[in-house]
Formats: sequence, structure tokens, C-alpha cells
Amino acid sequence: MAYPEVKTVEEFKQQPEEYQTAVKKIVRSHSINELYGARVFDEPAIAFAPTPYAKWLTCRVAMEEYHHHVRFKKLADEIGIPESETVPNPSKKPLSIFEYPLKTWEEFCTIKLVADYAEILQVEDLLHCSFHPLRNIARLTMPEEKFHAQFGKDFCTEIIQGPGGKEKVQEALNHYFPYLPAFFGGDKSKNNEMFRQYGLKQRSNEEMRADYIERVGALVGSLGLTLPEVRLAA
Amino acid sequence: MNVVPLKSALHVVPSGEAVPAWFSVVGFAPTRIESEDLAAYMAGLELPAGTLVALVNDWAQAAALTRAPGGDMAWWDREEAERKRLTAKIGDDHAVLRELTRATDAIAEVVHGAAAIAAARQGSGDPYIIRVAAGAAMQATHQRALAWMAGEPEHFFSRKYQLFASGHWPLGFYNGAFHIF
Repeated sequence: MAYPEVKTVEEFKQQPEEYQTAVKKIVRSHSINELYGARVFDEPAIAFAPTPYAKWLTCRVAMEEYHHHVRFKKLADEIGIPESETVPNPSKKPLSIFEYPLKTWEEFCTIKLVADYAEILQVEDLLHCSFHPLRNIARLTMPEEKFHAQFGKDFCTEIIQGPGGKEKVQEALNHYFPYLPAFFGGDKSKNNEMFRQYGLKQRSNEEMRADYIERVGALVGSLGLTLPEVRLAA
Repeated sequence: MNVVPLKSALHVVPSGEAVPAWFSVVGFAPTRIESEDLAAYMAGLELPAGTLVALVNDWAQAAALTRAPGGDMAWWDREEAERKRLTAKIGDDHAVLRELTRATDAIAEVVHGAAAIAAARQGSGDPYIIRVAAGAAMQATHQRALAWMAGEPEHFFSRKYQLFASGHWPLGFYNGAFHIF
């Protein structure tokens, strides 16, 4: 039987502790990762963008990513997550992909192409989440994430048409893509089981990862690129 | 150091200020007062006195101009250097960013909508130009708020913002002239 819908923060506070813990884990993770992404990739990319047109577009993308963080952070504050847990903590290792500073415009466009696609799947899974305030953030965030992925596709297409462009994008793909399957969490994850039990998420990590690899494979294939082989943890 | 307390960041826009008329007069020649704002902004960018000013007439021209590769980006770099200086003056990067994000978030929909309406009026077919325009206007809002927070309300970022608030889009320096839309 589906878990009852939790429509407000006040109702949330009356839920079992395990439900609250599950929601907090999701909100905390999105709040931190959105901020990491904006700081490590989007804001530095403004300097690499080759024209004012691309720079202003990247400004808009960076602001939207910061806004995503602020939305999750605001919800985190409302449900009682301490501030120190909703921003990157120097003592905690971030997701591997955030450990490599951005070096080129081609890398940024490739990250938008494939990493934001991973974000789309994550947000998509929250669109029917039992906790309405989280569902609402997902619904607000989704169109912007889709635009960011489209931005990646369009600019990668443009780069590929230039001399040496295809090689540069393929090189960036080879570098960054291997970090992305881990973005979906471990197989047979206890957390994911709890998220599904409470109707917070719909799919297992394994299903999402397989779907991601299939969809992103088709996407890069349409640009004449190939995904590098990735050894997945058992 | 004269810095506005962070908690006041949302109030950096003076109350009673006219509602910005985003993109409402793009393609029209600047008025006398707007020309004064433009001159002050260009001086802040350290463009030589007597630099030509060119009027851009439509969205397609604005897109083509700002998309052309290989342009002189010294004016952009000058703004970036000022942004860094002001941010360093305020300190606490994260808190600044959070407050500025709140400030720009509040206008995001309005700016985007205004750009969409203005572009639609001229039948622009560029799917990105609305976002580019909104990005430029929000950057100007961010820069102006930053200047206020740093205790420099007379900064040239304020004059740049005034051009946006008047309904123009200062596009930057291209092909030997400063272009305004």
C-alpha cells in the first residue's frame, strides 16, 4: 500500500522518525550537490565561455543552479536540518566528480550534456514523491535541469562542428563520464529501499543507473560520440 | 570599511525606486538621462572618452553581435575584476552568494517574462536569446546589489543597472564601438 501523502512541513513533523530521516537524507544530498555543482562547474565556466552570449547564458545557468541549492536549503531549514549539514563540509569527501576543477569550455558543455542528465533522472524520481514540499521543488527544478542538458547538447553540437572539437568533447566525456554512474548510489542500497518504502522515490538505484546509461548512450551516440567503458561496482 | 551588513542585503534596492522596465525600449535611442548613465558606465569600463556608441535595432542583431567569436573582451574582464574586488571587500563569500541569490531569485520570473515578450514582439526566432537577455539583466542586478553591499552605491555597476531598469540592454564593446540595444 502506498505511503500516505505528507502535504506540509507540519504534517512531516508528525511522521515516524524513519520517514523524517529518509526525507532529510534526500534534501541534504540535493542541497550539497547543487551547491558543489554551481561552485565547481557553473560559476568557473563563465570565465571559459567564449563569447558574451555564452557567458550570459552560463550566468543564467549558474544562477539557476544556485537557486536549486537555495530551494533545497530553505526546505532543509524548515524541516530542522542543521545548516552545517546542508553546505559542503571540508571534512567530508564530496562526490568524486566534484574533485576535479573545470579546465575548459568543452569540459563544461560535456558536463552539462551528461551530468545534468543524471540530475534530471534524480529529480524525475521525486516528481511523485509522498512529501509534497519536496515534490514541489522537483517540479520547479525539472524544467531548468532539462534546459541545462539541452544547453549541453546544443553547445557540444556546435563545438563538434569546429576543428578538433569532436576530439575535445570525446576527451571530456572519457574523463568525466566514469564518475557519473556512482551518482545513483550503491546497488541493493538500504537507503534506497527506505526511500521507496515511504514513497519518496520510485525506482531502485540499479534501475535508475541502467536507464541513465541507456539514455545517455543514445544521446552521445546521436552526436557521433561513444561512452567510455565503466566498471560498475558489484 | 563601509560595508552593508549581510542581513540587509535584500534591502539593497532602495524602497520607492521605480519598477524596472526590463527590455521595454530595446532598439530605441537612449534619452539624455540614459545617455548619461551609459557614459558613466563606459567610463567605469575604462573605455576611452569619445568611444563610439552604436544602437542595435533588433534581437537578431543583438544575438549575432554577442555570439560572434574573437571579440575584444577587455570590458568584460574589467567588470569581472570589479566583481572580485567587491566580493573580497565584503568577505564571507558564501553568505554573500546566498543573499544575492535570494535577491536575483525574486526577479527571475519577471525578467525572463519581460525578455520573452520583447523578443516575441520582434518575432525573434533564437531559442536562447531570451535566456541570454535574462542572464545579462540578472547579472546586472547581482552586480548592483554587490556594489551596495560593499558600501559603494555610486559604483558604475549601478549605472549599468539603471540602463537595464530603463528598458535597454547594454551589449558591450564590439567592432570598435560600444553597442546598446
